[in-house]
Amino acid sequence: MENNVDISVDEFRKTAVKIEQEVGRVIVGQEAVVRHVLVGILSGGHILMEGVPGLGKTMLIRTLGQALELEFSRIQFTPDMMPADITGTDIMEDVGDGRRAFRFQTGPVFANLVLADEINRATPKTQSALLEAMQEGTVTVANHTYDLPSPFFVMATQNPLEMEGTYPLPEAQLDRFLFKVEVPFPSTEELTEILARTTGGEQPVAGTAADGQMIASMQKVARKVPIASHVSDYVSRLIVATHPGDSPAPLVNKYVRYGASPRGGQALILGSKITALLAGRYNVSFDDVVAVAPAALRHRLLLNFEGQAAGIRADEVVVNLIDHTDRNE
Amino acid sequence: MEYEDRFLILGEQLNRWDGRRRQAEAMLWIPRALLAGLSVAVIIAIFMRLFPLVDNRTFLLLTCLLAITSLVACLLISFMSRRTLLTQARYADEQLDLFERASTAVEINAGKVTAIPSITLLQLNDTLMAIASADGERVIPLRWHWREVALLLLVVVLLIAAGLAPNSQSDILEQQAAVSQSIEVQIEALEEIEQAINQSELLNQGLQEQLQAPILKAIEALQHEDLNREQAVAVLSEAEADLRELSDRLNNNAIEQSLREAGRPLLDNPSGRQLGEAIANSDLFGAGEAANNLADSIPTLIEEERTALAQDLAQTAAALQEVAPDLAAELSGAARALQSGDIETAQEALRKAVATLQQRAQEQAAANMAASTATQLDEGSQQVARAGQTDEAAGQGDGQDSAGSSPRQGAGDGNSMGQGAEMDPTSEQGQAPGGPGFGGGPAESVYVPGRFELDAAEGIDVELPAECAGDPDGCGALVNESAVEFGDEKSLVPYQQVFADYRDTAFEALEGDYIPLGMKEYVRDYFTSLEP
Repeated sequence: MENNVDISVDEFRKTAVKIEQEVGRVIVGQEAVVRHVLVGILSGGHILMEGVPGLGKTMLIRTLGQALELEFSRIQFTPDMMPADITGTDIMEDVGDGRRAFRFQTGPVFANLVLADEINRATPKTQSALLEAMQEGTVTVANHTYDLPSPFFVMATQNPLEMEGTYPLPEAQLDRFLFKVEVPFPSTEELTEILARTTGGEQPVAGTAADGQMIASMQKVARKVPIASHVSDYVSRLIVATHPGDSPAPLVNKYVRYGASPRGGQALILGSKITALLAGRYNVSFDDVVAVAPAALRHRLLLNFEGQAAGIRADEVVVNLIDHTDRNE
Repeated sequence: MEYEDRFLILGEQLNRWDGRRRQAEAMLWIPRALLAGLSVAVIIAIFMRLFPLVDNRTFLLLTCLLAITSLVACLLISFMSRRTLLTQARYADEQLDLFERASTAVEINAGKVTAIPSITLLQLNDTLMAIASADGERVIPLRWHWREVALLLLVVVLLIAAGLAPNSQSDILEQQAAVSQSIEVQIEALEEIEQAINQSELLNQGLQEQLQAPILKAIEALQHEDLNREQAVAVLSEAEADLRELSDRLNNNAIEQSLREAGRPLLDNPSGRQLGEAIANSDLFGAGEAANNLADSIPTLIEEERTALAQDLAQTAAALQEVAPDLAAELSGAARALQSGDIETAQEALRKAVATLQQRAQEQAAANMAASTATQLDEGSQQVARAGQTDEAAGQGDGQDSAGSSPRQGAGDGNSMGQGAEMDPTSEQGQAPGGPGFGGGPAESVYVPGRFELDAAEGIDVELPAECAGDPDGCGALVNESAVEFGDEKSLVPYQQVFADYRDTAFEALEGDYIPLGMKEYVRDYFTSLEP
C-alpha cells in the first residue's frame, strides 16, 4: 500500500515558510494573523476576519492571492447587493441566426480566493448565497449547478464597530468558517514600518511562493499527520465542554447559550495538524490544539444575554475552557 | 536502520526514563510512606500511655515493623507497579516536553493510530531526536525532599524516646500477662487432673463423672479470653468448694476409724486374720478381697472354726453397727449363717459385704482424690492471685498461712492403704514465698484488694467509757496507746470494742459482698486470729 503524498513534509514546511515570508514582505507584523490565515487555507477552510477598518485585512488577502498565484476576487458587500451579484446570473444573448439563448455569466464568487469584504453589511439573503459555495464548492443558478474553481477559499471580513445597518451572520453561516481571525491593531513599531512602506515611492510586491496545485498537495499532506488518541480525546472533550450544563468551565456554564458543533472539532484537529507541521513536528500535540482553539471556537460559542450584557468576549470563554478541561482523563 | 529497530531504541529510552521516574518517585514517597507508617506508631504511643495496650519493647518492635512495612510498600509501589509503554510515553511527553511525540509513536506502532510509512518514520526519528536531547537532570531530578526527611527524623526521635521512657501501663500489662500465663498453667494442671481421674482404675464411671464435673466446668470457664484475675480466682475457688463438698459427701473416715476397732476380734481368728488385718489397717480394698477369700474358704472350715469365725464376725458387725449398718447387717448375716451351718448363705452374705466394702473403698478413694484436687485448686487460685504481683505487694498478706501450712499434697486417691498413684509428683509442703506478714513470722503472699488510705482526720471520734479514761490498762489492748498522732489522750479506744466493730463489718462483707471464695477463709482466719 503506497500512501506517499505528492510532496514531502519538508517541502510542505519550506513552502509554508516561503508563503509567510512573501506575505511578510507586504504585511507588516500580524504574524499570528498571517499564520492563522495560512493554516486556514492549508486546512481547506474559509476564514472570517474581524477587525477595524484600515488594518490591512484586504491587503493581506490580496497579498496571499499574489503569493499563492491564485485567482483573486473581491466582493464589497452592501445592503442592496443581491445573491446574483455574487453567484452570477443567466443573461440572454444573441447567438446569431436570429436566435437568443441564456448564458450563465459567472459572478465574482468564481475565483480561487474570494474576499467577501464587510460581509455583514449584506442582507441575510445575499449572505446565504455564499452558503452553498462555501460548503459544497458549487453554485446553483436556475437549476444548473456550476463547480467553483479549486482550491476555493472565502476570506470574509467584518467590522466589529459599526454594527448599525448590518446583518450579523447567522450561526449556520458562521459555522462554515473554519477560523475566525481577529486582526489586532499594530504596535507602534509595526505602524511606523507600515507608514514607511506605504508612503514611500515603491510599493512592495509579494512574489509567488506556491500555486493552487501545491496548496492542494499541502492540504493532502496535512491530513496525513497522525494524532494520538488522547489528544483527539482532548479535542472531543473541549467541544463537549463548550456546551453549557456539565461543562467543567464555569464561564461556559454561565455565559454560553450554545456551544460548538462537530465542525468545531474538525477545525481544531485540521488546524492542529498544520500547526504541528509548521512547528517542525509530525504529530499533533496538546499545544497545537490550544494554539488554534481561539480561532476555531470563538465564532462557534453563542453567548447568552448575560454574557453579552456583561461584555464577555468569546476568547475569554475559550481560555476558561482550556484552563478547566483536563488534558489527560 | 529499520523502523522496528528504531522503535526498539525508543522503547529502551522510555524504559530508562521510566526507571528514573521510579527512582524520583521513590525518593519522594519513601519519607512520606515512613511518616504515614510512623504516624500510626505515634497514635499507638499515645494510647499505650493511656491504656495497657503494649509494653515498650513491643512498641519499639511494632514501630520497626510499621516502618519496614511502609518502606516495603512504598518500594513495591514505586518499582514494581506495572506501566505500559504508552503510559511511559505519555509521562515522557509530559516531563520531557516532547509534545506528544512519544505517545504518538507508540500508538502508531501499536496500530492505534494510522499514519503513512513516510510520516511514521519521520515521526519516529523526530521523537528519538527529541528524547535524546532531553535534559534528565533538569526535568526529573533525583533528590531527597529534606523538609520531609527532617520531619521524619523528628518523628523517629520522638518514637524512640516514647519507646525508652518508662510507661506505667507496662506494669499492668505485665500483671495481665502473668495472670494469663498463670491461668494457662492452671488449665493445664486441671486437664492433667481430669485425665488422671479418667484413667483411674479405682473409681467407677459414676464417681469419675462426679469428680470431673467441677473440673471440666472450671476448665471451660478459665478458657474465656477476657477472664480477669478475680474471676479466675473465683472460678478456681468455686471448683475447689464443689470438690470439697464432694469429698465431704463421700468421705468414709468414720467407717475407717470404726473398722480399726472392729477388725481386732478377727485378728486372733486364723480364718479371718487376713480380713481382720485389712480391716484394722482400714484397707477397704484389701478387706473386700479378704472377705472374698474368706467366703471361698468357708466350706473348708471345720465346725469349731466356723463357730469361732461366726462369733468374731458378729463382734465386728456389732462394732460397725452405728457407722455402717449395711455392712454390719451383712457381716451379722454371715455370722448367723455360719452359726446355723448354712454355708451358702454365709458365703452369699460375705460376698455382699465384699461389694459394700469395695463400694466404700471407691468412695473413699474418690473423696481423697477430691480433697487433694481441691487442695491443688486452692493453691492454684493463690498462684493466680499472686501472679504478676511484686514481693512487696504480695507481702501484704496477713501471714496466717505460713510457709509450712500451704499443703501441696499428692493428689492421688490418697487412701491410707497406699494404693493410689500420686497425680502430682511435687507433693512437698507449700513453700510459696511470702513477705513479712501482719501477724509476725513468715507470711504467704495472697491477693488482697487495694487498701483504703484512711486519713486520721477522717476518723470518727469515739467517746471512751469513763472507767477507761482513768485506767486504760483495764480496757484491754489499745489501738493507739501513745495517742500522739491524735493529740488527745482521751481518744484511746478499747481494742475489744474496736475489734468487734471491724470483725462484724468484715463478716458482713463476707456474707454480702463479692469476695472470692478462696479468699473468704483468709479474711475469716485473719479476724479470728486477732480476736482478743
